Amino acid sequence: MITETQALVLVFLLIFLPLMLFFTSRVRGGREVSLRRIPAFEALPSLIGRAAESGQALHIGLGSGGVGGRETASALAGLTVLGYLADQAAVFDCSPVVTVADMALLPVAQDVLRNGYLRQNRLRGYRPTAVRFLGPTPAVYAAGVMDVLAHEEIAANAMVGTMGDEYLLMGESGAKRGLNQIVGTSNVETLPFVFATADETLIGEEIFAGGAYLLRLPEHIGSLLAQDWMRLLLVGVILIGVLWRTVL
Amino acid sequence: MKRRFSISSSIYTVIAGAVGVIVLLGFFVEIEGLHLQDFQAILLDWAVTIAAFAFLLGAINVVRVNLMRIRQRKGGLYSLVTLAAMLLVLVFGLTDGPHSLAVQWTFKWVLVPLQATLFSLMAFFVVVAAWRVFRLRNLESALLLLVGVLILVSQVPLKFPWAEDLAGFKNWILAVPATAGARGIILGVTLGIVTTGLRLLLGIDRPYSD
Repeated sequence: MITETQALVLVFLLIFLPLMLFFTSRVRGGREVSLRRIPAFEALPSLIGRAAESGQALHIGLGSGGVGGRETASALAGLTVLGYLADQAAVFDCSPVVTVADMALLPVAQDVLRNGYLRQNRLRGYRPTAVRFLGPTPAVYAAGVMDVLAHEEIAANAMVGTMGDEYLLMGESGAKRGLNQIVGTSNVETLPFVFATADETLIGEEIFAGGAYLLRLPEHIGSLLAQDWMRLLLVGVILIGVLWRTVL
Repeated sequence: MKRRFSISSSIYTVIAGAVGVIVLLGFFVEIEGLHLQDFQAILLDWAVTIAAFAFLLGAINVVRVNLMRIRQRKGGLYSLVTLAAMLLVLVFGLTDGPHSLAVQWTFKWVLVPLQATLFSLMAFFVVVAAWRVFRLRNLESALLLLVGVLILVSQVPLKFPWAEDLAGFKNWILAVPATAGARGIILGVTLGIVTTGLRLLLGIDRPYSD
């Protein structure tokens, strides 16, 4: 017997999946889609430019979450940004320093970085130690990132992933040094700290839009459109529910 | 960014997709004779076992990165301390077990106080961050400053004529606009997570191969 929650999730997926496939096929068919501006994604290439010009490294933090748990989606969003920056780093010969807090995320991040260099035929520039596992707890990870941002030759800082209160320790270290920072997290409680310390922020769901904005993948643009339609649907359902409860 | 086709990446995609579908089906479907939940539990156990191997990769990475730092003389002393501490705890853990006195002592009297110290710095960092964010730059920052100051004042345990009104205002700000904004973001994040999950299941996102 299917429970009420299961039925709701199933209905949600049954609406969402066809919508996603429909919009993906439309984008693949060449339909032009205008996406609203997200300044943080527009500013990402400038981080690489800054690092390349100064001959210093770019720090890319994937947050204190990892793969396999509740934070998997945020970690994957961070990996998408890493994939884009890896390509750019290989092209502009800029060495990134990638930090992770999850041991399972470490080989995945190394693979994503390596693929960026491979795509640009610059595999010789790839160093596995460019990806560093700093520690499995948020506090240890924050301490590690603080050290990287404060003492290493870093030109800019990009962080996307799960981050709790410990973000403030990292963000302030970067801000104190005057680093250009782009930070995105899905943790609502952390967003005020991000807003206070970063130059550009990716708020909540925006971190999941990296594939559409940075890589222009039709599947990602299609899923983003489906997401928008689902949001409208949910808003409609909420409004109907409010009216229902108010009138009846 | 175009994806290149390769047999190996296709195999990974099929395996990942199939495992994902089975785990998802186990959440929805209950068919007699077909024990999807059991299969789901086995797969999740495998995932935990495989993830445990990542501990080894993590340890190797820590050693390699710190050896590199020692060679390059970039914070070499700290790296030396890190490696020595890691080795010591590893030796104690392997000889006497993770619940041995030495390992427990290290966690209780070294790691926990250090983490507490780090988080205690948060108070100062919050003040500095507030100083920066409360600068008047535009209408938004002016509103933020105004609401921030009013909420701060409402927390002060002093009795002044309009203290109750201010407390009511604070409660309204926290219960209505702040909660509405937070719920909006959470709803968006949920949609983003579902989308990411579906893209993984369909093999569109492949963080494991290219």
